[in-house]
Amino acid sequence: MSDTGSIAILLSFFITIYSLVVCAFSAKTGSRAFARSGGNGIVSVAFLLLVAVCCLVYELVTLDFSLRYVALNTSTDLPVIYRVTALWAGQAGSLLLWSFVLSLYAAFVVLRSREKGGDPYVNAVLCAVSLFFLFLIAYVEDPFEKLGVSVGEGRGLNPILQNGYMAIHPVTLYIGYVGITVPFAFGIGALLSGRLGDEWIRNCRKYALFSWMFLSAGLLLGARWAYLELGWGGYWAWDPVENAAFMPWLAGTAFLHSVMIQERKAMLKKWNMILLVITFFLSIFGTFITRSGIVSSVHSFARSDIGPLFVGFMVLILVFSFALLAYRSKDLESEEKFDSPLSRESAFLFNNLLFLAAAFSVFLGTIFPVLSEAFTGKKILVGPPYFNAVGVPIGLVLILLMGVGPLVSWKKASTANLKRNFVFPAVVFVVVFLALLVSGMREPVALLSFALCGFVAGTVFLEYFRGIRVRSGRGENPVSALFNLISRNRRRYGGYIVHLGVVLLVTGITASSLFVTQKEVVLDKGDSFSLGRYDVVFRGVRFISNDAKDGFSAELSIESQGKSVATMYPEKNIYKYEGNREINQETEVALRSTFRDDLYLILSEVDRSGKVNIRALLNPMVNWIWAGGIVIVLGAIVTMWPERRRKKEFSA
Amino acid sequence: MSEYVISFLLVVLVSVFTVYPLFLGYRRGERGIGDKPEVSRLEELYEKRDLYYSSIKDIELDRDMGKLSEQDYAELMSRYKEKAAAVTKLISELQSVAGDEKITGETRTSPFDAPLS
Repeated sequence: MSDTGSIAILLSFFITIYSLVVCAFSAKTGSRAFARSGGNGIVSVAFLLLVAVCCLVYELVTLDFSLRYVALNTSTDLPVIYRVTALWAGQAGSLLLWSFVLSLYAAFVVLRSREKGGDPYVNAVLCAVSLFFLFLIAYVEDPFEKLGVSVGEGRGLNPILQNGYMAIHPVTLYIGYVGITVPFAFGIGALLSGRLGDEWIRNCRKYALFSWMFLSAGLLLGARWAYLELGWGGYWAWDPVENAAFMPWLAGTAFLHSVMIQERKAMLKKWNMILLVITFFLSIFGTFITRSGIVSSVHSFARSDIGPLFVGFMVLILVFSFALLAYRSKDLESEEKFDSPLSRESAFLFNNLLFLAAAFSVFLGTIFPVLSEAFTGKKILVGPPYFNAVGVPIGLVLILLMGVGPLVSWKKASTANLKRNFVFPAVVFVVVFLALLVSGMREPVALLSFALCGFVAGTVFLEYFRGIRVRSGRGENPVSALFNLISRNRRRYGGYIVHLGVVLLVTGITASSLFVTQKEVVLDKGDSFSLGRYDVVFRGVRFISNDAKDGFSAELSIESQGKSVATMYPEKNIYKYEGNREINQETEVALRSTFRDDLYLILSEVDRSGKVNIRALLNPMVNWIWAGGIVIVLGAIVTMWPERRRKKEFSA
Repeated sequence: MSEYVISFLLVVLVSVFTVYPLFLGYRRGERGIGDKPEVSRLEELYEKRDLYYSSIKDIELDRDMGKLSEQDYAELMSRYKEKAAAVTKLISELQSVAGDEKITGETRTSPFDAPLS
């Protein structure tokens, strides 16, 4: 099947060139035949890349070690599910996945816009971006490259990738990452065609929200994977590859808010274009960071020659986009002005600036080691102290704005109304702040963060309460009023659900970052220690062995208030096969999770006498982070849910 | 051998699908770029009008929730009603320009173009 896969990729490359040319031609001449042909080419590429993906999966599952990619990323001991997920374990497979997801998006755009005649400018931009990635997999990182020698065993999949979350995290993230290409294509298409009315921004918003939702989910799934697999007790380390996905998320969030201003007030048109270009650029930059290995990271499992090609592509994106923007600058003048600094528009603009500042600070921190090494020869690492020092203040102000924004109206808010609207959320802020202070909390960032989360929650509650009250005043019962409030104002009230999810997320992050308790102990059989409300007793260690690994598992009984609540088995394993794994030892953490806290146990060492070195952490409220992620996704779905439209008849 | 057959069929199928539109004449009245721009424009105007109606709804809700003063409410309502009226007028004019041909369409705004129930 490898030859079929290779042919499918090559054919995709040439058909994309064809589609790009005919779309550009049809844009110039208005020819429907060429537009249709270009669109069909785009749909064909999606089919061909599906074939290529299926071929590679087939080769991975059947362990065809004659292929370099299969030999590098699988082994005979690998369970079938991880042979499938090996599709995105390596460079070439990841690039194939990128191309495939993009082809699906492009095909969807073509098919959806077909009844309106399609937009050849948008299609041409999608082809141009696809062409770059297809070139990479056709000529630089071929997933079907033959090994040239016969081998009986593969090098295997890194054990830390053998985890359920790693099965879905990359795909989810890619749907988000790659999806940013579509709004970018609509924006550039609008600049190319000169049709800078409302249509492009409406199309942009829908696709941007869809990809943002998946990017959010992908980031959190990755954090969850890191928490479970990397075994250091945390979920976010400001790793370059984590930052690579976080930056477009920050810029994308700014864009989603800013778009609302353009839709309602025809303002910030230039700004939105710039934001869109920046968001797309950051998604490509993020791919470059991950794929080129330019910044070393626990995530960067491969290094290759694609770095210079990516740099060239990024330069082209920036130069082309900003040149077009400059050319169309006059057509992007705002139709209205800001009426007042005390308005939702102003709050959104301030929110934009902060998100961009955050994205820029993360960008700077991520590339600084590369720049320092390039200019001084010394690699200066930038870690959590920098990112937290910059990110925390920005984050706190953003949470405040998240609460303020819904309280002010479009155009301007009168002082009297502001005072009235702020009372309840302000009271919640003060109550939370004082309650925590009285309980003994003194950490200022935590106090402020929790109190601001209370403020935002108060705002959201007030919006829902008042909205339900208004509808109940019209005769609806509260349940119907709530349902109708959401269903008839999906963007607004779905957005509030997203904000509530962010509140849960931030609460969880604050608690788990600032109030971790940990201990490192050496235990003999029967020894115990206490951590928070838990008493942990070491019952013994046993040797475990299977086809893939040998290792030790420690049995630890967990008690709370004298009652047995769990038995936990942290492991330390040694994988049998060497190879491209930088680590052949891996710890499997044992985790007891509740909404209150997580008991996180790591088996660091086992000595000959059977004593174990256990590192134990009590991480408060980590589950609030994952719960917040679920609420964010639900809120995004509500926002995107189709609204009923009446049938329209166009007639003379 | 079978892999080469599959690959050959793939090449033929995809190539035919991609280029066949160049050899077909488009049926009179079929929508496409530059064809019946009034219809695309009409759909754009309907969406614009719906957006103004949605804004009016938001303004009313904000007023009922006490976030807008009566003066601001009156000013905003007047502005958006004017815009909606202007767009409605344009729609009527374009409908008359669209000619005798009756085109019935559904405008969908969902990301996945879910059919209307």
